[in-house]
Amino acid sequence: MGWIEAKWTRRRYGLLMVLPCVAVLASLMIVPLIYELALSFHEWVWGSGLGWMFNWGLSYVKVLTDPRFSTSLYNTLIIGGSSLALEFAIGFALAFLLNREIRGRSVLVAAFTSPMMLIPVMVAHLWRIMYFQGSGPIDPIVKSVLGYSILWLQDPWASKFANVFANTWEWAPFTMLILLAGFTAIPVTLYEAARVDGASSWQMFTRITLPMARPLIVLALLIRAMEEIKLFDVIYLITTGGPGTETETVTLYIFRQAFQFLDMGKAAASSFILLIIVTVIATVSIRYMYRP
Amino acid sequence: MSKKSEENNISRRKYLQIAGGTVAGLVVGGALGYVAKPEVTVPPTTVTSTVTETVTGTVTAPPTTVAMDTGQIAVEAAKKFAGTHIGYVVESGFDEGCCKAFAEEWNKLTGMNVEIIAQPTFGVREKVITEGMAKTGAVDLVNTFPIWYPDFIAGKYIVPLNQYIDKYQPDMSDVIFKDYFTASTWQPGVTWALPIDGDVFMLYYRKDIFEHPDERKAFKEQYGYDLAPPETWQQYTQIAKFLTRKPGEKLMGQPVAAQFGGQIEFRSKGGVFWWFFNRIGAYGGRYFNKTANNIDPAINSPACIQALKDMIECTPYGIPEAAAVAYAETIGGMEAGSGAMNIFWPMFGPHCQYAPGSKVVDKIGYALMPGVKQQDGSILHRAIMAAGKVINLTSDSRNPEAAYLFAQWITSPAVHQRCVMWATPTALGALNPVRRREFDPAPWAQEYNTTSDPYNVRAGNPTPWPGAVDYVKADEVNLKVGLPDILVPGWAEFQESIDTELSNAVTGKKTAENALNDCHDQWVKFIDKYGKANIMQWYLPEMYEPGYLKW
Repeated sequence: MGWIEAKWTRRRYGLLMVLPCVAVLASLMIVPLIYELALSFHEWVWGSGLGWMFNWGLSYVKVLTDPRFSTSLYNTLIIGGSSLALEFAIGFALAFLLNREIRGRSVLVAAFTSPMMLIPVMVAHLWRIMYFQGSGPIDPIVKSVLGYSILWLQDPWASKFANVFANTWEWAPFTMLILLAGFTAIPVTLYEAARVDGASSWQMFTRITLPMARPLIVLALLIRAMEEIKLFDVIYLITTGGPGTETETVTLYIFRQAFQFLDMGKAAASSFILLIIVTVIATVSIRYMYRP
Repeated sequence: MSKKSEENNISRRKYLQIAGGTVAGLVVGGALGYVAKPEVTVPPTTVTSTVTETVTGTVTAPPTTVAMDTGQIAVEAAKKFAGTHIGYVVESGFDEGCCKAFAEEWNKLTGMNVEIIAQPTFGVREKVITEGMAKTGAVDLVNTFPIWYPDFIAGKYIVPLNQYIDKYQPDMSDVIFKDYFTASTWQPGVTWALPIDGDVFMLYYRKDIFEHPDERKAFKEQYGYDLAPPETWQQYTQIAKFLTRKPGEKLMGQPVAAQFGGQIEFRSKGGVFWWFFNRIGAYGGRYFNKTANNIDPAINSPACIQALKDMIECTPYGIPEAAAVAYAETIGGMEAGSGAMNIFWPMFGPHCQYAPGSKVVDKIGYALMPGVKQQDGSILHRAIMAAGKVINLTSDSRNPEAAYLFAQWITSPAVHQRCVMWATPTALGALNPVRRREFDPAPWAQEYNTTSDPYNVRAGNPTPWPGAVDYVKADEVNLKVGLPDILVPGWAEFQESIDTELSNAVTGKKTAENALNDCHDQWVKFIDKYGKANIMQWYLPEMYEPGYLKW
């Protein structure tokens, strides 16, 4: 081993050790990506008996000119954006309230995070039963407050928010946990010093809490934004993308192309378009996260 | 560069040697692993012993011992395949319980290992295609819908059964609509499947409500005819409207706590197309117009538009949010006693009777689908043969003969008779009669008029089902006016399109005309996509005419 110890530094030895792992991960991530990119430039329908047919990227044109795709982008923006905003507002409020020494804090944290532990299929079924006017508990409550019923599963806009509320109920605790971790990491001495200097609560919140927690706030928003874009199970089970296409998101659109219509070329093209959108969002967010 | 840093740097040659050696090692190891993987042994296909038992008679007594028939022949022939594993894909929640029970019975009889792989309804198709493309051999048999034939045959995911049928001679003498189910309609002489489930929509209604003197009197006063299962779709709407009650209003003399629906049909996106197809046949509507050289969607014909308008008119006469009723609400709602009429598959009959917590035990009647009065005064009834199932052998099955023998057994007369009568509380059967003898009321009366479960299909549940004979008779009359499901290549896109537009129409976003016109335009594009010649090859207009399918 003498010549190795002579020739190798610890860093290069470590690189060599992780090389097989990197190779495996690269093959699991890079190879499928390249495969799908190639597929997006071909026509291929499973079950047609025909193989790949190069189409010069016509699949991208078909997707971008498909009114159903643009509708799905719009629905993703509304449902995903609304879910993100609500999850952040509720998660932030809960994290702020729990960021103090109170009795039963750990029990409260556990209780608030319990929806996250449920499988999405169960959450979707639970909320669909609750929304259904004939049998669910939501309609009597809404009727007593508003004086009229809301057709959660039938109305175009109500059906969007039916999915938003179900999704928010499940994932707001995730935002709460991340933000709570951020808040508890802020040194207490900063607040003490600010108090000594005569800072108000609002000033401490805006000048200490928010700036110090910014990286985690951006991280929570980024993670949840990625998940909102990928949202599928709750929507599929509550409204199946309906009524009509009112709740059909991009992921559901891609699912239909790939696994119902078996049009793999179009599914690959729409997946890549989504990848570009997601990459742009992630890049902007990460730059903002690390901005001094 | 300093002496120390020179010592710390590896030479390029050494680095390349080590990296290259690592990659080469991985490649060689992977190749060795692939070559050394155990082969699946394929049992010999040559028959080395001759089956000598002969069929001695028909089943006339409770089959505690199954009489020798083609099923028993399959059992004897399959014993040489003891230990063989067969993957059998079925629909989860519907076929699963029944098929699992019979697979276990087969495994005990033969020593084989038939494993049930349950998939969601439309996931069965994707499962077969993905496994077939990957050539995993994991799936040997699959319960498929005939509407998948164009995809499966073009993609070569299934194989004809002729060689095994010639060898083992299954009894298909009384299978209904045989050429349709086996795809011989499109390829005469070729049998692609053994039929296992004769699906058709039936009309279910609450006998107790229809027979209540107060309701009958009030209905007669209002509409001038007796309250009875509707003969026409117009009567269906009238009865649904009459029997819908708001909370506090009386039904059968008692106030209802929650809104009671005159009808409780499926209307949600994700299946509503079947309930629309169920209506269009009686109105004279069709999926396509086909001439010698052209095919054009006919989904926006005046007949189809009228059918949809009537369907929309009827929708509000149901439970709240009627336009969003899906499987859970239509099944659960009827069984909770929230609806007066429903239209569903035959499995709904035993489900209402035996589902745990059902509030409509002994209260459900079974009837012929409503129709449309014709110009000559007669009423044309049609009922959609929604889905329907056949058992296919996959092209990459590693044990095709063994798999075929199980298929022959489960579809054989004596065994399949028990399959279609299957109704255990936790495994409510969804395999329905597909042979003429299975509509014979005698076995149904023998089984369900007793508390003793002589056919062993109720897990010993003593509750009789007095309506069982009426149920199977209603199944028969509806099948005799059956309208086949849409059967063309790319059916999934055609179906999704009509499903979406129907959802738009039912929820009021579009008018019936606009919805079906938009659907027509989309279908025109799909015809181009999948090939006009291809669509024309599969779409046979005569198949959708009354009386074409041979009973």
